[in-house]
Amino acid sequence: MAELLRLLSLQDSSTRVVMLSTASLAIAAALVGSLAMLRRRALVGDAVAHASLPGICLAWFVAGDRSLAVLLLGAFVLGLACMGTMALVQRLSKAREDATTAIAISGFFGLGIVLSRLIQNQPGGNRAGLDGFLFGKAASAVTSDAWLVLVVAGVVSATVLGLRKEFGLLCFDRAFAAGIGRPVHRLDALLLVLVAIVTVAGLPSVGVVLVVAMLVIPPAAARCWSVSLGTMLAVAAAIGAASAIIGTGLSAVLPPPGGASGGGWPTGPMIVLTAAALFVLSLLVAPQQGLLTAMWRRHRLRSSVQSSSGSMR
Amino acid sequence: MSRSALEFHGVSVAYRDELVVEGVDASVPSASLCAIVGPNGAGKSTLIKAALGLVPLASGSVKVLGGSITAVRRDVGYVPQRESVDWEFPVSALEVALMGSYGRLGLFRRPGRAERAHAMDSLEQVGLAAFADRQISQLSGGQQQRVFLARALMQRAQLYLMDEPFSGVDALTEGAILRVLGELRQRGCTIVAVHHDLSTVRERFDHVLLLNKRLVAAGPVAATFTSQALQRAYGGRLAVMVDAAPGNAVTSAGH
Repeated sequence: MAELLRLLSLQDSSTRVVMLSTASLAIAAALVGSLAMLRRRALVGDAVAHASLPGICLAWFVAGDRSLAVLLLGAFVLGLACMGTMALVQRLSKAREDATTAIAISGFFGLGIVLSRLIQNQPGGNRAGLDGFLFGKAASAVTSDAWLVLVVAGVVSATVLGLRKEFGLLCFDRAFAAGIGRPVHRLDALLLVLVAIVTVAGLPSVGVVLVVAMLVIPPAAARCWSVSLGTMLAVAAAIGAASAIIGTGLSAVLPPPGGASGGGWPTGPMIVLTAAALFVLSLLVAPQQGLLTAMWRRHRLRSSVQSSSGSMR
Repeated sequence: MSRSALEFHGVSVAYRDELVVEGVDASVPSASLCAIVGPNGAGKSTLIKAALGLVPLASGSVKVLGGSITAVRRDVGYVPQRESVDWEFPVSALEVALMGSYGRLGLFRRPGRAERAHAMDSLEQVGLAAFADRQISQLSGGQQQRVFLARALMQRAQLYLMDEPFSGVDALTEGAILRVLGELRQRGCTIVAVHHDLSTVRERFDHVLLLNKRLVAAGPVAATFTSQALQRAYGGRLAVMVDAAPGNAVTSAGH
């Protein structure tokens, strides 16, 4: 309990930085994810995430440098390569977008698993490092890495907010945007690059498998509450930040599953479960479309109709 | 004002390896209400997109307001097909109208008080002032079409290109749109609209382009919109023919 209090009051400076960086990343992911979802590109983040595993492995082989920045750069490069592959396959084959996405996700992830086996058999290669990338381990992140993520998240968020009028128009009516002379191809490409950046930056805390949740769940929850793009962005950011803070806190505070000697809870699943819980809550009680709200409204309507028809008799 | 607002010179457009518009030569006079008419797949929408520079030309050139589209973009308004956007999008009627100001605002400037007032005026003109704060999914099809028209009015253009502005609208909306188009033409604006309903071409438009991949006929409605021309445009698929005499225009197009 004392541990929890210490964590939530952010007295410990390294916890403070880590928490802040995870939360700011969640905000950036929620903002970018909202646009990606409205542009019907929600799964691009998942493709990038899965392509990042071979990227990390390649960076490990090529650079020989194990710093987070280098590994993430490798992830980013392969993420872009994956998006390029998807666009190419789409153009060459008659496969639909969902199929090409599935092809890219599984193909790149398969390559990543093979490469990671090679690394495990190398001197100095250990499973623990890669596991961190698969499932996330924010609570134990190094302060310098946290600063890196914090800066990246800040730049991404500022870009989205600065251009939100243009991105909004692009997502709503691309033909009209092109008609008034907007560089729609470049805006589309920028959006995809932003998706790739937040996805890669989210790997250390949430992990390859689940990072797409940060791009999709908070925006999906926010949509239940919003009638305008501005509200949707704000609510998504708030839900993302709350999930990150609560999830990171839980993974640090809960007693480890394998006893004190075993590893702690991975942060990724905790963050994602928190976000999912907030999504379900939104689905149920949101003022416009909430399921419970709608039931309550129907109930009230029915009873008012009954009472008025009763009084007429 | 007798100059052409829009000129096509040998315009061809291809999607992948198929020509969808072939060698179209036509012009639309200034301050006219021009309908683009033709069967499904005749390249009507494509011709409008070619004028806006949204699709690459396989050959030929387009002159818009006497120049290249890139030079006159701000003076060209556009109403895309209503079905081309997601009406569940989290945006209000007023915000959609405001998008009409973006062309003049540039990338980073946001619409301010002046733009909002103007957007309200535009909604007022199409009879939607009371619906400004409605989310667009809560509007009827006709109201959605009018929101698009309000957005085009915000553009304060000289030439308006519209893709089926009358498709699936109720009588109220039809009247509102016709009134607005009339006012625009009074001000000297030119309107070019893809139109599907053959029976209303004569009463609503004064100029017509009949298209079936190639240009079949172009000119003033009275002289151009004849049963022979229609027969050629629709390739004999018209169930009931239009009589050349006005007032007898009862048609239905078979597919």
